[in-house]
Amino acid sequence: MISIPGIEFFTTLIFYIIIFLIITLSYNLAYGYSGIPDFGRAMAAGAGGFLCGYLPGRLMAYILGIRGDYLSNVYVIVDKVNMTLESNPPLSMGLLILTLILGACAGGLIGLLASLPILRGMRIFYLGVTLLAFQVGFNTIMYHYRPILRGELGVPIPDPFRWLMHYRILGLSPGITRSFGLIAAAGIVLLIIAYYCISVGRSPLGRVLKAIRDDEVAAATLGRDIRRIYIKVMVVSYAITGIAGALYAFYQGYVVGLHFDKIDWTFWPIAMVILGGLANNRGTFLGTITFIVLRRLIIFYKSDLEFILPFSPIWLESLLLGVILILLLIYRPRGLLPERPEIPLSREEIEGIRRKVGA
Amino acid sequence: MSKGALAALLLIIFVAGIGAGYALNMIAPVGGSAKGLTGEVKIGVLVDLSGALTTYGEDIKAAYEVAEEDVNAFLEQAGSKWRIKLIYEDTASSPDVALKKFESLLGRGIKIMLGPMMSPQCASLRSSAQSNDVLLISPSATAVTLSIPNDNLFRFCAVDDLQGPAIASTIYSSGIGYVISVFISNEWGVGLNTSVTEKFISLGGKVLKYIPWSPDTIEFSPVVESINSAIQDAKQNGISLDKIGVFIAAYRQILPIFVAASKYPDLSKVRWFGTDGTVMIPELVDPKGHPTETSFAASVKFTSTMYKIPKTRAYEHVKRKVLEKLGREPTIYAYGAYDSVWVVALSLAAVNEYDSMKVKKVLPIVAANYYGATGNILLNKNGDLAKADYSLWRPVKVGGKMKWEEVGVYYCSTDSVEWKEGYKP
Repeated sequence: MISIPGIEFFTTLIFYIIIFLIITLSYNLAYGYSGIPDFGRAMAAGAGGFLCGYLPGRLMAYILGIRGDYLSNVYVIVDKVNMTLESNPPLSMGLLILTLILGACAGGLIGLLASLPILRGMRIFYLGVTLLAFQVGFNTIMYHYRPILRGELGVPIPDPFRWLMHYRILGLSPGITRSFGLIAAAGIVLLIIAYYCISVGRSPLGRVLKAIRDDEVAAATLGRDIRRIYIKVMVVSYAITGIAGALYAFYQGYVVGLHFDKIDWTFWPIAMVILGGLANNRGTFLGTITFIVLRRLIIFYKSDLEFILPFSPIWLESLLLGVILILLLIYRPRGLLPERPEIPLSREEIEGIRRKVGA
Repeated sequence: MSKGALAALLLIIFVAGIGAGYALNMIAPVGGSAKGLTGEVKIGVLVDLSGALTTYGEDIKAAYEVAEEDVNAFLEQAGSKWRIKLIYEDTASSPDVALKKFESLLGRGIKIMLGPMMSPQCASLRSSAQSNDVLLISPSATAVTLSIPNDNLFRFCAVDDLQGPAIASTIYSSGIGYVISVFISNEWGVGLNTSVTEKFISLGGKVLKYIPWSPDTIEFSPVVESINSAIQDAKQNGISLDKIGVFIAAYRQILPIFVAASKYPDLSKVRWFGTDGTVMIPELVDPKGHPTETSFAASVKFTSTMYKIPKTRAYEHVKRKVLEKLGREPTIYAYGAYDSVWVVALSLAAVNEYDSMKVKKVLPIVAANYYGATGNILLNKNGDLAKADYSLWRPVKVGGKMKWEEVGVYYCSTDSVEWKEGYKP
């Protein structure tokens, strides 16, 4: 019998779409528009997520007057913090907003540090591999250095959405109401980020980024400070991804250095952007939604296919996604919605100008 | 069709799919109608079928399968309109994978899950389980840090605040006054190190060195080198080797550790003590397939603890059935796993609806009045097994054949170790 998805399937699906849209939009800004080959994206998400594991719990413990070693008693302390947050929605929302802002700052700071090699003259071509190495080092430190997240043990995170569990929407369970709250918060963040990224794409700045991507030397001859622009893009793009990392950490309620690995947080977002089409925000939306929906459906239905598959369905997800990506690169190498030439003015506007000048 | 229209169409299909899925979900919830169970009642299973806990995972899965058959046969006899259906996910002995598999099961609307097996996995799921009203019943997560009242995690196994004293008393009663504590740096290993060493010190012993290692370690030579260097230091300080013990909290990593340790002569002259993570590992009693590991384990009288359960009728039934399935006797956690399926099924029958929080309320009462493969299951306020004695197991040669033999028992009520005849230190 074929399984039917529960409401949790859809809340998880929508949340993942939102989180990865935030990441792919920011990645598109760095790679699609600016041509920065960034293999360190997981580091930016990790900066936000790990900050979420470090700061809100300690801050709330301090506010509540809970003293003693935070990490030794982290479960008990976070449970106490959650009880306070549950009865105080304004405090919960304040904590959420503060953490997201600081998550963006942490991501931006990591972006600045990661782009230092550009300042020292490293060619952009080599930056990708350097960032991959940075990311592995960053995660290794987070996974093994105890004072931040208890090293290999990880830490629970206070839940700023728990107060929503007192409400029931359409008779749904309190957990679902909480998920709706998370989705709403992440959705608002996505709207702001999408507006920003689309605006940049349509603005003169977007065309400058594309010009730099297509020919650094030509753009430099027109007076553009290429390195400075690269660094700005890296900082902004990483800051956006940092917010996504923080939101994801709140969603999971627990964080350890193993989270935000390079497969899920660097390579899959790259695949999503390539699937949709580079330097095309509509393509990024389409690629991300298609990829996430496909992935979640494969995960959901794989056990139903157990009886007809000649191998364990555990491997189905990686196999199918790999095959789809290979086929896509063969038949549509520029993605589902390829980049189109930028026309700043519509044909009618150009015609109007022509008539006005009498040409 | 233009690309924009295509994208819009896809989006409409997607939104329509969400609506349809939700509507269908309302018609057919995971356990039948809102009140009164009917059809298949799905229970998720998070079990390690790959990675460091594979041996235990296979045993536990086999026990779940036996329990599923037994429960469904019982429900059929009782004329019930519902059956349980276990949905398995391999958590690959990893907290990160466990979280993803948890999400996958939750996406199916499953709110009652058996597992996960490891303490770090339980730690990673705990918050999500709490937020989504998911009930977790672990057969083998023993970390002390997870003993928290009123959360959604039940553990049908003895936790490490019981096991730690058992190990420490075993070491001390073996005439060991100095111990080197070697432990995997995860929720379980760190907690066990604390409870073992604190008790050992309170008994009058001394800890020579603490040697944690990262869970992702593959090459164990540096760990073994550290143990050896601690022993050499102790020798230089005039401590004799028969007074030194090595306590090791590991899973299957014990195999490469023993291979590496066999190269150091002094390491086979001190006594080694393991935990529930190393007990019954088949490779340690397999001289043909693993001669180095087997011979080292025998030479150091490698003694591991495992909580002791009464040999009930259900115990014998599970043992026989798992033996038929896997060709080997299951480890102790398999019996708790078997019981967890029964207790969940009986609790579901009691509340007669698929409501994980109602099941949570009645589960401790059902468990206390149930007598299964592990006897009565008395849970404390943290949802963990309230008390437990421990069997002491060791690989020994019996009748020319290596096997895991029970060489003693630790009694928690008297805090004392009773060695069996022929195995007294």
